Amino acid sequence: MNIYIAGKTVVGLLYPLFKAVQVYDVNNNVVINTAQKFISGIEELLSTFSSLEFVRYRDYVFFNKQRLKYEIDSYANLQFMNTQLQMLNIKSITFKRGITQEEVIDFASIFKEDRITFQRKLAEKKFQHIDIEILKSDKEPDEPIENGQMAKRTYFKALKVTKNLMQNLWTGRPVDVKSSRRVIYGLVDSISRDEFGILALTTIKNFDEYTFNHSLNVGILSLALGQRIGLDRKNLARLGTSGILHDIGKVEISKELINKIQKLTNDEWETLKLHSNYGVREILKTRGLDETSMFAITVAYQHHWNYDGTGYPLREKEDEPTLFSRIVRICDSYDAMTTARGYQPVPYLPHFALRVIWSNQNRLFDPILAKVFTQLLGIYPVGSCLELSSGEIGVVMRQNPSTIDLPNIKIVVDSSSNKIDGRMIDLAAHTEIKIIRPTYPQIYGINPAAYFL
Amino acid sequence: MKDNVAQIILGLTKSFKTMQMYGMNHSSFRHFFEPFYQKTAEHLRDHNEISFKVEKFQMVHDDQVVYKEEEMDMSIAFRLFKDGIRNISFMSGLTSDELLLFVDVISRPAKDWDVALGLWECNFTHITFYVIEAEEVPDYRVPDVPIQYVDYDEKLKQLILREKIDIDAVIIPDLDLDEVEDLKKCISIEEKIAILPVVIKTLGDYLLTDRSEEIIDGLIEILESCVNMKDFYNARRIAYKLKDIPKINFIERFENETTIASFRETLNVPEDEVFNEFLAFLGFFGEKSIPFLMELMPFIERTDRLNALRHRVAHIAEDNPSPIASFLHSKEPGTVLNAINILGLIKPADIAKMLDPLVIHPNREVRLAVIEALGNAGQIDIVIKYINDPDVEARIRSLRILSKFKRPEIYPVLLERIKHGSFLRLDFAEQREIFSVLTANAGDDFVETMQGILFKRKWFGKKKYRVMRRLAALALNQIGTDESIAVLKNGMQKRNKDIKFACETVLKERSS
Repeated sequence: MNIYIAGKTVVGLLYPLFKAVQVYDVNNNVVINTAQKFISGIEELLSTFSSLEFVRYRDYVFFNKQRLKYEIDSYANLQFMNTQLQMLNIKSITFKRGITQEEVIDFASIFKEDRITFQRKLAEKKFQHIDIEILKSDKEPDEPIENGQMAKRTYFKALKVTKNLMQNLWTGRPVDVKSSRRVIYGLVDSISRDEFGILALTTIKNFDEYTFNHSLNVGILSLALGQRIGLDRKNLARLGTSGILHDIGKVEISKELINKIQKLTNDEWETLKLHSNYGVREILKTRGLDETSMFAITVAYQHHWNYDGTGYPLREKEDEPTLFSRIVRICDSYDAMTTARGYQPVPYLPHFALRVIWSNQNRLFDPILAKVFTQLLGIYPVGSCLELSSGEIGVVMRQNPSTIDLPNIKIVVDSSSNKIDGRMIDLAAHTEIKIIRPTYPQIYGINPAAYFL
Repeated sequence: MKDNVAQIILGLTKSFKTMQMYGMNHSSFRHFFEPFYQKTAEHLRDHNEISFKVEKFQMVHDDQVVYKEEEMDMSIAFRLFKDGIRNISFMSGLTSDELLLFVDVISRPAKDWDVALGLWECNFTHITFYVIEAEEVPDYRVPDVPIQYVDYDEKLKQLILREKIDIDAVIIPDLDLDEVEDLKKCISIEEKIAILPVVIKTLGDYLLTDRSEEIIDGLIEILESCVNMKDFYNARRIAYKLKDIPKINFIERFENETTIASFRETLNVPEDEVFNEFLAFLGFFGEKSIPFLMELMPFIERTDRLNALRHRVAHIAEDNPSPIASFLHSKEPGTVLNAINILGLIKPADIAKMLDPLVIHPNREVRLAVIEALGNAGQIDIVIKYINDPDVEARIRSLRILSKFKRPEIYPVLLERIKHGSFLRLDFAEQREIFSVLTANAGDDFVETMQGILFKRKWFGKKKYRVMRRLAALALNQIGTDESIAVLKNGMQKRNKDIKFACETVLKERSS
């Protein structure tokens, strides 16, 4: 069994145990049975691993140094564990060989206590086969520089490669496929290490180079959504490539038409719609026909197919968009709505864009994916500007996986409307500060992307 | 611990070197690799993980340099470092195959080989690594946003109007169990089903509006890969989409000995569906493929499949059967048989001429096949020759065929045959077939002659006459005219037991 599966298994065994001690007395059979199940499960794992260590770092839980990702099938278990660890200020828990039933029940029973009682009881208990390390202060350790730096390097490298790829196609020069493959794996790595880190960079929107940024952003958003639904690395690499290449057919359409500000004529609109077809041709030209490009071809062709059977290019009744196409359909729409363009000088607020997606599930978008996308981005996606009850303005810096409507924000405008480099606030921990409503960053001359660089 | 790590590094170094020099199948490599794996697995059982920080020419474990090699070509550290790998970890559960693949990837000739990409594409479960992009973050400045008044309420109104959304709708994005199951099913379908059919459909749909060279080339490329993979289902779907495109001979590339010989593995697959898809795909093949398809036939184990392939080849050779005819001269009786059979299916006008040289073929099976083929083609001039064949089966088959045709000139010939004493030495089955042919080609005196045989003991001695009476009665019944039935009814009144029995039996059969 690999570490990742093992980690998910232990979390899956812990959750019912914690729940059982919350409801029943420690001598109740339900608790005893759940504890026995837990022990037999982890004993099996301890024959492979010398110990089972959970570490909470930022909003993530790591198992034996591997990050456990929020996936649909383990979301509730992991969210519970994360919240408990955060609430009790626990940095790490390690289960060791030789653990007994008594220890397990004792351990679970103190977990239902508040932070102070928990720490007192923990000091009394002195577990032999369970190590629990408490954070020295409420403040979590700083993120290692290279993580954030890594995300940025990966993002800008990917942007450069995407730009080169498209420019080379425009000018008929050969395309460096190896670089694109490498970039995709870099993005997959980055997403699996810290999806919020790289997701934040999708707030970088470039009016002049819309197509490049948009393609990359769609690739990243698709990867994050793909990871959330549990795709493996191989499929993530395919999905990321498909996301980045989804609009590649636009290289065959004149830039004047693509950037046209005025309303398109019917003919122009029909021409623009052909980019889905052209995408197929461009991918074949660029990459030939490996397995990944087959996925990309399908997505390029289908990314304007709606969930209800409408959309373009025309299709037969029985033709359904693939899962990847449905993912890219959502991410493409979201990024397009939240980006300023000639005909849309003030883009949708991320919050509104998400509402549009939510309201159009079943019609334009796959309803299940729309839900997962909302879970992923939160009610106020990263980069949103929020008016707060304190009179300040904050930019959403990252989500709280356990409370999707209470993100971590950075104060960027004080209550006197002065731009400031303010503090970080976890709104889940500071319930006294309320969100009044999302707001337009233009009002304050703010570019949210600046806070992620 | 320190010793362990040193031994692991030593194992890695030696495995790396021997892999480079001899490759993974050489005993020298195995000699070093196996203990290397054992040591690593042993270490991981106790420690879960072993991790190395990668620097330019060295690797560091627990803040200690455990590997150092400054010769670029020989340095594992440098190979990893140059492609951005800064950390490498082996996890508990590591398999020998994973470690082998790892050594293979890092040992490949360095030029143009990206170790990080190579490792990524291996999708390891128990080996993780940390890659950084060498380039620094550019001095990127996000564009300044000028302060601009945006009327929130107005924007919101526009949004609601344009998108027709309920802005206050409560959003609860939790999935219920059914939705989770649905999604898992989708993922497993996406992961398991081949993307190929979707791509074929996409490219095919595209072709309907634009016969672009790239699309056609793309489909041909997929076709090639399908043929190589023996995926005839998809190959056929592509061929169908390409068949109407002028000036493109997409099948020509497969009409060669090597490709067609490679189809041998499909001939005896257990699944009929696979074989049938293969046959259907062959429908797109042309004349050039015939010699190679003929060579495939001896490898088919099942008769029904052999017949199906013969039909397919017959279809291909329909307009020009001469490539098939050339196989009639083969020294392999099996091949000759196939050729005869296929010609029998095609029924070319000159089939009699083609098969004539085989009438006296020493192989009995060949002669039987000729009879069958000519019979199917209605060319009975040669079939007649077989009524004197030394093989009883050949004679019987030829007679059966002749009984289906009207050739009055053979009536006197057969009548003479019956009269001959040798007739009585024949098997009853053959005797009966001769009477059948006689019946089919009956002359004016047929009933009278049969009546003579039935009642008067014409030609032969008393002893053998029971058989002759029976045959005559059968023939009279077979021709079934009022006159012949009257003879049989008359026979029933006879006192002679043999006559009575012969007539009663056939009339009883008739009435039933």
